[in-house]
Amino acid sequence: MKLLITGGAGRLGAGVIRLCASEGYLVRAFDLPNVAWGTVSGIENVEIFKGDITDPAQVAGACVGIDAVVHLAALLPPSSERNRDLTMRVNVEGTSNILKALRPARRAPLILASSITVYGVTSGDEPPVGEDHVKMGTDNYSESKIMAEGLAESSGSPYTILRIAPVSVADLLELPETIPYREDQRVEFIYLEDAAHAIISVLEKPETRGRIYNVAGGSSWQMTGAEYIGRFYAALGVDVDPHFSEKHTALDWYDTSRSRLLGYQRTNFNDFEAKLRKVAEELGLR
Amino acid sequence: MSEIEGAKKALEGVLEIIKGLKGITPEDRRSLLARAQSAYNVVAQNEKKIWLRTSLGKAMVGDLNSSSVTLLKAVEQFKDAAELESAMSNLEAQTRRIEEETCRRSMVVT
Repeated sequence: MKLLITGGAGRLGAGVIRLCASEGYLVRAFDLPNVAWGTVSGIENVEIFKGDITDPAQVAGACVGIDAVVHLAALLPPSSERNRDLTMRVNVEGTSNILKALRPARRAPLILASSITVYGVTSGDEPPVGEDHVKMGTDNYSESKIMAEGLAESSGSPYTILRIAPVSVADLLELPETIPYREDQRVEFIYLEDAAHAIISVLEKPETRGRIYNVAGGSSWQMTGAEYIGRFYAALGVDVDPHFSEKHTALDWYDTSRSRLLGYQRTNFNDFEAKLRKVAEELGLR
Repeated sequence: MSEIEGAKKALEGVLEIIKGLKGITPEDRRSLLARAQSAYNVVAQNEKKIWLRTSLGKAMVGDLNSSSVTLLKAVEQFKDAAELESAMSNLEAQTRRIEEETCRRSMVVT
């Protein structure tokens, strides 16, 4: 099976590509020419395709001979909030370009990486947030994801939508000036490799077509913003002075009972902390 | 004084000396000032980054400090433009590495 993975040079994209390649898939990685390709170049079974998701001709070229598309390419916050037009071009028109390129065959499924931000601010609701919760865009990014979901749903092509929680990587990450959630806010992240496993699982399960799934870490990842940041940096052995948002934002605890059939929640938060401690030793922080 | 403070101090010296440097055109002076200021800004914006505490970060700060001091010597003992250009380019290479590593380690919440 040959996959097109858009946003292939990004953090999640590279993780998905490595996992797909290791499981025997042939992968065509699509991303902009000027991004850092080092994380995926040279991997066996991975073909690099440099192009722009906003260019229909380049997208059509990338889709030739493809059996399924994992669409991860998107402009993410904070960049997405600086330029609405560009965000809509990349996140919405980009999705449209892929759906048009797949239209002649109507056979290759589109696995669309959406986001839990489509639910908007849910702090006033009883958790967990399920897939049937009303959608409410709160910024350029979440609005673009709602529109991209709509395109997939109305396309007539086979699709699966994954509303993925913020992805955690076991590595030292710098704190932003303001952490985009409150310290007492409910948050739930997902380990990068678990998100990649969810995507692969969808590829292998035709019964997921036409469905929407929350993809998040599970109960061990459900905590407050302060607990997440505290445990993350404590595992790295680093003292930090985080400044949290004063407003509730579009992040909560999620109902992942529907997506449990994908078998992707393999890393509980204690496992993740152990990975961080190992990274800290390798980086000379411990 | 830490190495990062040493680098900043050296770059402050570079900026001061370039303002009164003899033997260069006004255009070259403007260009050198802009480049040195840009390097100083990168150091100031990154000096509190957590990754600078890692082994890699410490090595990069060491290289940055060394490049800054070399540039300071090049402007203090200014003889020819080629030597100055070489020292400036070397410093810019160090600041680019720092910017790239900071970008790579930025937390994105989607």
